Amino acid sequence: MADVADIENYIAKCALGDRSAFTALYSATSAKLFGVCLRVLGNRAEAEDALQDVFVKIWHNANRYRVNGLSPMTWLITIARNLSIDRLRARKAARGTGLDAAQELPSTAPGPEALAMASSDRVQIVACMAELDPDRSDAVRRAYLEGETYQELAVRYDVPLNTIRTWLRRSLIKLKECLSR
Amino acid sequence: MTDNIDTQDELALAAEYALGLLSVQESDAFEALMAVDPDLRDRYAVWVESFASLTDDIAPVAPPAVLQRRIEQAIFGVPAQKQSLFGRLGLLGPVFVGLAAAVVVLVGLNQSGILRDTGPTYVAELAAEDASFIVFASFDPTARILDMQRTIGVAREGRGLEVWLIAGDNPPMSLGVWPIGQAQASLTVAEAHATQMAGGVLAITDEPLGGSPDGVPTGDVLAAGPVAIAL
Repeated sequence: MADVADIENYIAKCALGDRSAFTALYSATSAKLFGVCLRVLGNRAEAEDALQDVFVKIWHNANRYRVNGLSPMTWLITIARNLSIDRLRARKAARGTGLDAAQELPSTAPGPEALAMASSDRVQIVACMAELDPDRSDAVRRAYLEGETYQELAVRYDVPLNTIRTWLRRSLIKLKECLSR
Repeated sequence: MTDNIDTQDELALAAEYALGLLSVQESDAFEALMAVDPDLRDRYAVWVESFASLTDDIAPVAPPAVLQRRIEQAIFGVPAQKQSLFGRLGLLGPVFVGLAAAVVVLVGLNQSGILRDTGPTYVAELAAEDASFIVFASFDPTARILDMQRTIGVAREGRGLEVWLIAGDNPPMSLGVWPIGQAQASLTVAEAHATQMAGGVLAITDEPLGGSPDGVPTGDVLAAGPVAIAL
């Protein structure tokens, strides 16, 4: 079982063009990333295509990954999630920002305070989500795992677009307050 | 932590960016801010880490074994083929200048679902170096049907795509125009062209709608790849 240091090592070697490191990285992470693609897309054939895009992107962008104290799985999962959601949105023909263009992580290392916050946040997010009203944590989850846009959330909860945004932003700030406790 | 409006606004904005809720303009503006503001980068990094843990309860699912081979072939191809392709493309003149930047790989498509069950087959993966444009192709020499599936990339705004076969040192031969807006294309190949498919190179170029006006490629090469016998 590969640990965090192994995965960072594989990514670093991929950046140098090491094919065996890519194979090792694939073996260590493809099942988790495929699980994420499947969860978002809900369709095996599409998830397989997405996973291919994910690993092609990982290979080509490995040189942009920086060991920064955050989990390397975060970088990989974020690539898988963003590419899958772009596919889902293309399928739904919804208008939205192409997430593949978004940065998976800032390329400079976060400061020590951010790191401390991040490691505790990771543990707490499930508990803190539970502190939100069910509708609101549900909306956050839908945005993250189903790529729902403000437009779609407004329709789903039957509230005006401006309201849903205010509503979700307040929830995110509340979530952050809980995470920072 | 969240003791003033600006901080709260930044926090929420970073989360919205991580979730993909911002408009294109808002995302661009956020990225511009993040480029000069380390605190904002930190906020964003922490959100990304937090949200990623929403996948903690997603169970791993082993992808089908064939997918690993497909992916590795898509990335690494076959070095010897790559070499000869570059050599050949070098003979094509200025029209194909863009190809120096194209990486080309072979892939076995037996499991990809686009092959017919009977008899074929030649296959090719046409790709751009940055993987911004990828097409899988399979050719059935009996029916002379070239089936193609575009998995990544789209025609440019108001422009079309045209498919070419390059055999040896000969000028590119048009195999037809990609149907506008379709992810798949199925072209019937003339007998004279079909016999040259083996060992040839397939390429897709950016052309005016309806195809090149004079039968030779006029636009950028978006993707190219060698034709190989299916693995």
